[in-house]
Amino acid sequence: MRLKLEKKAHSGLRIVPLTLMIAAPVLLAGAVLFEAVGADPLAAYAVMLQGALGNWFNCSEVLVKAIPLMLTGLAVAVAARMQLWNIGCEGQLVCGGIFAAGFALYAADALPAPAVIPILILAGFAGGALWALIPALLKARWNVNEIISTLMFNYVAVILMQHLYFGPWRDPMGRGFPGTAMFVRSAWLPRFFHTRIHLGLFIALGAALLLYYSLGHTTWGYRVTVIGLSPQAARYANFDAGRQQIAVLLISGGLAGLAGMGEVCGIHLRLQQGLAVGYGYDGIIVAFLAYLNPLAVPLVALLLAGLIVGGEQLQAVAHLPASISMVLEGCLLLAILAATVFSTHRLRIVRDDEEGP
Amino acid sequence: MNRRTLLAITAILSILLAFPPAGRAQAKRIKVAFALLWTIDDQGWTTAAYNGIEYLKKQLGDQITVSYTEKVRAADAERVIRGYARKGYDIIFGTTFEHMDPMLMVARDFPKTVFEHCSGYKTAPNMGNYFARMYQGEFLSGYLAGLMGFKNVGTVATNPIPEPIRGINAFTIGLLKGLRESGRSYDAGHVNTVVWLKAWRDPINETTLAETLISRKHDLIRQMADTPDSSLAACAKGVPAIGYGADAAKYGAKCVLVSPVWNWGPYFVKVVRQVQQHTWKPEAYWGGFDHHDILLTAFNPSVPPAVRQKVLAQKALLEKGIDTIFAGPLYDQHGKLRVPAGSKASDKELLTMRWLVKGVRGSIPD
Repeated sequence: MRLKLEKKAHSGLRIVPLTLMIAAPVLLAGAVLFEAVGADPLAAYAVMLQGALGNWFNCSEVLVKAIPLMLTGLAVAVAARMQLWNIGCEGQLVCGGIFAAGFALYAADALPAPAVIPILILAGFAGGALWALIPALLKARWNVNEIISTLMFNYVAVILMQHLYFGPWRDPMGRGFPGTAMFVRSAWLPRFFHTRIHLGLFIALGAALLLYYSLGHTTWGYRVTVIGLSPQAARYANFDAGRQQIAVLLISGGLAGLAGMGEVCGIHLRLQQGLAVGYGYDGIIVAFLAYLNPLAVPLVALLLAGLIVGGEQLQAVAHLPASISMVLEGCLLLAILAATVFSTHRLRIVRDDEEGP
Repeated sequence: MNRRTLLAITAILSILLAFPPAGRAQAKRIKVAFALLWTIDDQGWTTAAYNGIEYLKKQLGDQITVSYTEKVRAADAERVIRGYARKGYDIIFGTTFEHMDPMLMVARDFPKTVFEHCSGYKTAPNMGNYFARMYQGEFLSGYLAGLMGFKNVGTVATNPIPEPIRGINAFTIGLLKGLRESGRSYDAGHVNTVVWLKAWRDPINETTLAETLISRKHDLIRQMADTPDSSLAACAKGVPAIGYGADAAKYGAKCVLVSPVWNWGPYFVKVVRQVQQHTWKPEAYWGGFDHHDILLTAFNPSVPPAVRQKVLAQKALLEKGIDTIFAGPLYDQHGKLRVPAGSKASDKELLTMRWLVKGVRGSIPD
């Protein structure tokens, strides 16, 4: 006797059963986990919910946390629509942060105040795009595997950033501590509603809409999809795959660069340790949980951010280890993958004497 | 309202004022929160902070409520600190450098909350900072190594900023003093070779760098990272080591001769007591052995009694507040006189130190 995964005749994603298929196992796994560490599962979930949505401050912090996740999620998604795996969002994020910090430190003073923020946004995008340029060229020109090249560039970016804030860009008044000086006021992204929610949120939402429109409703989006799905067909249609690959990777890198710009100019207000904390890699999870749909990316980013921010309260209020929310994050990913499989396939027990199809 | 009612109300009011309810007489339960850099079992920096929290609970447990949050990095610091402030915590400790500016921002919005920040340099009317003179412990462990005749030490250093630089210098000054007293021959130009992790903790690189130093025939490995992995690597290769920050021997590095360790507990207790008694004022606190902010762990059995005695004698001086570690004449690696004879490096000079003392091999990268 063995188990066999079969394709269903009628497959489709219906939202209600799908949500149940995902939520139930995650909540159950969480409950087991809470029991194991000696906490009341219902109370623990209440703490998490309260921590994420209990008041306006907590909600605003979920939004703040979601900003870089949205942008790196979009970055991964747009490349993956073309079957390009951009694992280098972390490095592109860092490079976007470096570019924005460079302008904020050394040009913001000389520029008229209203021009500073647009220039920072451009600098962030350009920094990320530039960091994706070499892997993009290698891919388009010599078909070098972009998974490896983009990943390797992450380490280079982090070292470059460290060099800058330990060395030439170090705050001269900072008593030798690593980190640049704090930026001038004109280089701080505007914050809203007396919270830390900054301009990056609207940039991210705008980018999601723009990508949704251009991927789904323009010839460019059509080309990208065709090149991704079938390179042969694309060649037959005379699409220049190389050029589109470069363009898509530059956009992807630029989006990740915007995430770095947002963190540096909206949250840190300087370039310092603690910028490269894995948003680039979280973006991969966000993109795939969103099924590469740009409109779903912000929602998934919010869900993940809620889990992180709410999970933090487990420790502050219920004195549970901080890592529990990461375990839940893992459960969520597995449940969604499983739900995806089971919405198109079913498990069947096959007897050995039975003839396979 | 007639006169009798008025009289009755006055009487009741005056009794209430004269004898406040029993609960009021008791000191208010102080709520203390800690933002921590990493997890409490990181075997280094955060474990040391957590040991301090445990000490605080043991001393004042019935008078305080304690909460903490792990893994608070720069981007999250403001949320975590503001969250505690909003929940009405009376004292909030930020235990790593990255918490400084976020804490300052929150401190402005919560003038009645007391903020204490570790290892930074900014203060506010309701925010103090604190740190410990770890270099004193590093001097003593260097002295111990010198007395035992180690003259080719390999140091796995962390970030090339004043704090570790100061520690390398203090260790080297102690090492040279010990070697001088041991009567052995040594090359005064280089007794301590430094390589940099450029991180506070990086177990894989700690191991690699320690193994590289051992293969280059260094006779002692000095750990400076928060994690004990460079000491563990030394033990695995049969080379003795000096621990750092937390007791490396406790985490398996049995070859460690001694570890100078952070001991935050007494300071935490002091701050909480001051807040209870309304005597707290923001200050830039920098204590050492004199206030037990650092300690030496038990010596390894291989440390000879005579060496122990000499090290403990130096420690006793430091406990009395007599700290002449950075007394001149001190020369840097290039032979330039940095601290003239008859004077002593000031705290400001120590806090901004960016030169390596004669005897160190290696440079400050940037």
